[in-house]
Amino acid sequence: MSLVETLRNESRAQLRQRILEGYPVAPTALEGWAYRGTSLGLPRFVERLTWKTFQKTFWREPASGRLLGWNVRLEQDGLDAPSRPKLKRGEPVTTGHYQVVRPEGLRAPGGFDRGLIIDYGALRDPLVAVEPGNSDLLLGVSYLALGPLCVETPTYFLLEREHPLTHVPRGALALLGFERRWAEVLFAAVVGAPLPDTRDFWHQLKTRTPPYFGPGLRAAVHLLTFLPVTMPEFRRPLFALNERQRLDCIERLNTDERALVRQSLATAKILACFALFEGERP
Amino acid sequence: MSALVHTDGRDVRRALCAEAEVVIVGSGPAGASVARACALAGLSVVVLEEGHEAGPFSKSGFQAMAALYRDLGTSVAFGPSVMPFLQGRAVGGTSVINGAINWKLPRDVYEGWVRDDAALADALPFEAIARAEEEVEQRLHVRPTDERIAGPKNLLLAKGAEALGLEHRPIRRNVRDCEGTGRCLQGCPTGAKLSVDKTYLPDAVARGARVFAGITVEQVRTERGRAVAVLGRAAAGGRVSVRARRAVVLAASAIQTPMLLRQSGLTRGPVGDGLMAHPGLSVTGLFDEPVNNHLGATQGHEVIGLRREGIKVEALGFDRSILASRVPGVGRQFARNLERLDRYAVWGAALRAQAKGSVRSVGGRALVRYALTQEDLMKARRAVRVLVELQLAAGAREVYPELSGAPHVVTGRAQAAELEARGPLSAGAYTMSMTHLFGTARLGSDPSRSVVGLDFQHHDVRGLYVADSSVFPSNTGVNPQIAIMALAQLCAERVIKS
Ligand SMILES: Cc1cc2nc3c(=O)[nH]c(=O)nc-3n(C[C@H](O)[C@H](O)[C@H](O)COP(=O)(O)OP(=O)(O)OC[C@H]3O[C@@H](n4cnc5c(N)ncnc54)[C@H](O)[C@@H]3O)c2cc1C
Ligand code: SF4
Repeated sequence: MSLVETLRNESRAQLRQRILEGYPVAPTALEGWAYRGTSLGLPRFVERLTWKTFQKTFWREPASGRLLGWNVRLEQDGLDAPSRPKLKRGEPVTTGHYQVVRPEGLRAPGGFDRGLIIDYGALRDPLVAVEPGNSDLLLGVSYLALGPLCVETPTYFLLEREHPLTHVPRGALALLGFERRWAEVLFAAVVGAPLPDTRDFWHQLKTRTPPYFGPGLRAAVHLLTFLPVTMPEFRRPLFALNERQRLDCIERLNTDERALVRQSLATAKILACFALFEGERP
Repeated sequence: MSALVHTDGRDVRRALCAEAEVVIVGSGPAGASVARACALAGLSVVVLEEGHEAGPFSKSGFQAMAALYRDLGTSVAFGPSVMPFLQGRAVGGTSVINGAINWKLPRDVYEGWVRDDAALADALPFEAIARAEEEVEQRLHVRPTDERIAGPKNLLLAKGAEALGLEHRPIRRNVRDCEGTGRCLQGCPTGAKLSVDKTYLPDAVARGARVFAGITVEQVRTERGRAVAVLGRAAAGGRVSVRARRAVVLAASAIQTPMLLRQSGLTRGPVGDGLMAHPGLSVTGLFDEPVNNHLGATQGHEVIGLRREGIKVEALGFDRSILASRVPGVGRQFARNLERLDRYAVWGAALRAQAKGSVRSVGGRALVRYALTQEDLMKARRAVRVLVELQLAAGAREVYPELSGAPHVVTGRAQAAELEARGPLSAGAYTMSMTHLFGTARLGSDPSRSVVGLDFQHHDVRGLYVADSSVFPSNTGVNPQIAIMALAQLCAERVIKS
């Protein structure tokens, strides 16, 4: 029986033991690859509700140098059938974006720190190599980090190296709903006028821009939203100010010579102008 | 199916296999030139293009950019500052959204190439390039801008240059019956701009070439040292494989061509290194009379007297949304200024920079690095001064140099001179972007310093050619599409003979 088949048939206790005895994984060994994932040790009925096979990807974000990734949904063609991503508008469907980090400094159940951590936020997946020096076959498990508590889950999975990464989802790192609202407050202040309907504008930004655009915009929006907190006459985030204060604040920021503030404001101004003139569309 | 596009990748859900004698990746000026020449020579041709057929054209600048520009125009090069670079992504490539400006390869630039690699003189004589350029200009109907459709922004630039005694001229444009709608950079809504989707590609299609749009080529397949096919993916998800019986020609631009080479494992030599460009910066001026910067020939006048210094000044024509972003101020001040949007003029300078950057493929995406040299920054400083002086000489009441650490508003020539003498020398102080890109798979006789030989064929892989500005040994200091098409034509002649 191959090692993969052995792992598929092991009990949760055996899989847990393998995590505790696992071998380290070098982040560079994952970078730029898609791995075929198989859920292990789940009861049948849970398997039916979730995904038995999936892909996990590992991608080094050029702008930040962070190792990021996402899950790709696969058509459920069977355990040994080739991976066939589910498509929506011609693009693979991706879910659950994460960052891959080293375990140092992260709260984790005892012994879950031998490899790397796939970090979704509250949900984390420790990942180890099953054999020393072999990053083609990895074993993972999920746990929840809830404040000081770490709650183990029975969701184990196997990752097998599949092929170099062929698709990086656009807008993978796009702004979240509340960040968009901050951005809209910011844009309206920059152009000194209310914005027209921006739904299509956001959709285009999310789907057409390269992956580094989202984090860059996020940084600019956060900076300009929270800089007023440090200004004695405002002492609140931009969205918490009234309209006149927002305009006063943005005009003050426009005199700031710091390169980061200048660049952030320039980005906000271009986008705000696009959004403003979207209203002119026939 | 349109008359131009044979297969649309948005409909290709299952595997697609095709075959041709010549398989070309990219349908911009370079790819279209090779396609036309090969089709006219009776070869079977398939052109694979990632973008889609352009039009109908949106009135919104943002929507036009979303449809026709790669990454919605947000691609950036990383360095001491983040510098955007713009590329088209459509059938017709960047010619669909370019300014329709035409220049032949200057002889002094060519001589520089020969000084660097003497073998180039015999393999690619200047006369052969000039002959090919002449043919391109004929087909593209290149003519000086007609004063009747130039519009005030172009005429004011002429006035400013005249007053300063700088050599200037109406831009030579590839248009027919241009109405001066000022929308060349968003895609010409009237069909007047003779981009290659209106000229070279239809010529090729009329002789049997097939254009497959919406298909991203991911790899060149080689067998026993010969390029035999390209592999890619259609927009709807289907795998695509096109066998090449004679040649694979890469014409995907100076960014995507080296990426394709690297993705195909062809990394020997300076693949993706030596990226050269013409970083551009612009200055806005406020006039008393209406300028209507968004109307008139998009780019109809240029100052050529500083070309040998590596500075070329052009009138710029933007969509109103982009023009608005150049209006000074934010908040209430911006809102007030916006009311006189019709009185702002924006002129730009393209710099022949010395900087050399690099292109790498990370997860299938371009990672571009680029850092201006000190000399480039001094050139930028000078260009800002020239632009400000031109605006003032043309009658601008106020000029906004958009330079950190410098006055926000300039109203006199002494202040303009200060900008050159004491302006900043850090890249982050300037707002620049790049539109002309070169040199990432350069042509040459020495395989350790070049990627393709003097016959445009890859040093290691027979039947694999590079036809776009990746092969240029340097930047040119002038708008490159005519030179790109001429060199691509010469590349096609080698493919036909092979
Ligand atoms: C805004 C702007 C204005 C400009 N104005 C002028 C001007 O007025 N005059 C001038 O001379 N020059 C101008 N230029 C530059 C000029 O247009 C370009 O230098 C020229 O178009 C380059 O030609 P090309 O064929 O090498 O590449 P492109 O025109 O960029 O064409 C390459 C094509 O290949 C496709 N492609 C890329 N990768 C793949 C892949 N993997 N699979 C399939 N297809 C792929 C792209 O989608 C694109 O359509 C301008 C450029 C810009 C951005
Ligand atoms: S100025 Fe207008 S009509 Fe003329 S070529 Fe450009 S887009 Fe077409």
